Amino acid sequence: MGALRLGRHLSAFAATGLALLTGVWLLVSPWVLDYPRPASAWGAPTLIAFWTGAGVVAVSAVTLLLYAATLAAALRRLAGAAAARPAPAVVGSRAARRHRARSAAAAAPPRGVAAEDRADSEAAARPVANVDEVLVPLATALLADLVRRRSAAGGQGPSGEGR
Amino acid sequence: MNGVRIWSAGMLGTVVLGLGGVWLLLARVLVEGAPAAGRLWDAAGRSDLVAGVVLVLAAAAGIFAQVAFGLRDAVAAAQRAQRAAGRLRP
Repeated sequence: MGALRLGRHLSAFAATGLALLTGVWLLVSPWVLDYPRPASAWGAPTLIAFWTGAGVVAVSAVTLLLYAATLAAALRRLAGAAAARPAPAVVGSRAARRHRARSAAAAAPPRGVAAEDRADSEAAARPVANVDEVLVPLATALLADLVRRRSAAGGQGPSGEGR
Repeated sequence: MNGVRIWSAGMLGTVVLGLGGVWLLLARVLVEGAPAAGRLWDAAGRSDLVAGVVLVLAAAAGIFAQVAFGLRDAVAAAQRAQRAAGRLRP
């Protein structure tokens, strides 16, 4: 069950709540309606109404708690599913595309610029959710790029690739 | 205890409430014997009868709603599974 079945929970709460109210009424009805009873002890109608009402209140209270626990579990499951759902891949893709574009530029310089521009314009068309999410992948990509360039420059000497 | 077990315990509680309503309908006669049947429509008897009917109806409606919602969810899940299988089939 991926979604919250609100009607199911509401019907359970309504039925049990009505039973709880009925139990409360049974508890107090001997005194509200002034049941006939002997002076020294409760009569049979009072005993029946009171103890049945007590049982109904106890059972319906426990049942309400159980249904509330079911609802809480469903809400937790829903929240977990929402948290596990991947965030809109707006920002990471921008850095990744930029990194891919730079790698392509290192391999084939004339076409890489156009690819990078296209990737940037596509990414810029999407909304950016969080500045941190923008900066962290960007900084990571830049750092990786820098390390790659330095290692390439060390391997090829001073006349290596450069932009 | 997972959600299904908690829900089943809640359903059991609803069934018990319905049985409490049945007990309330019969209690006067069962406790006081046959002569009480003649006094069922005094204030106490009327209150017990109405409360018993309300309990039985509430429990029955609750159980019916749970079963109906469960069946609806099961049908929807079966249809989703069928669609997914049909989509995966070559």
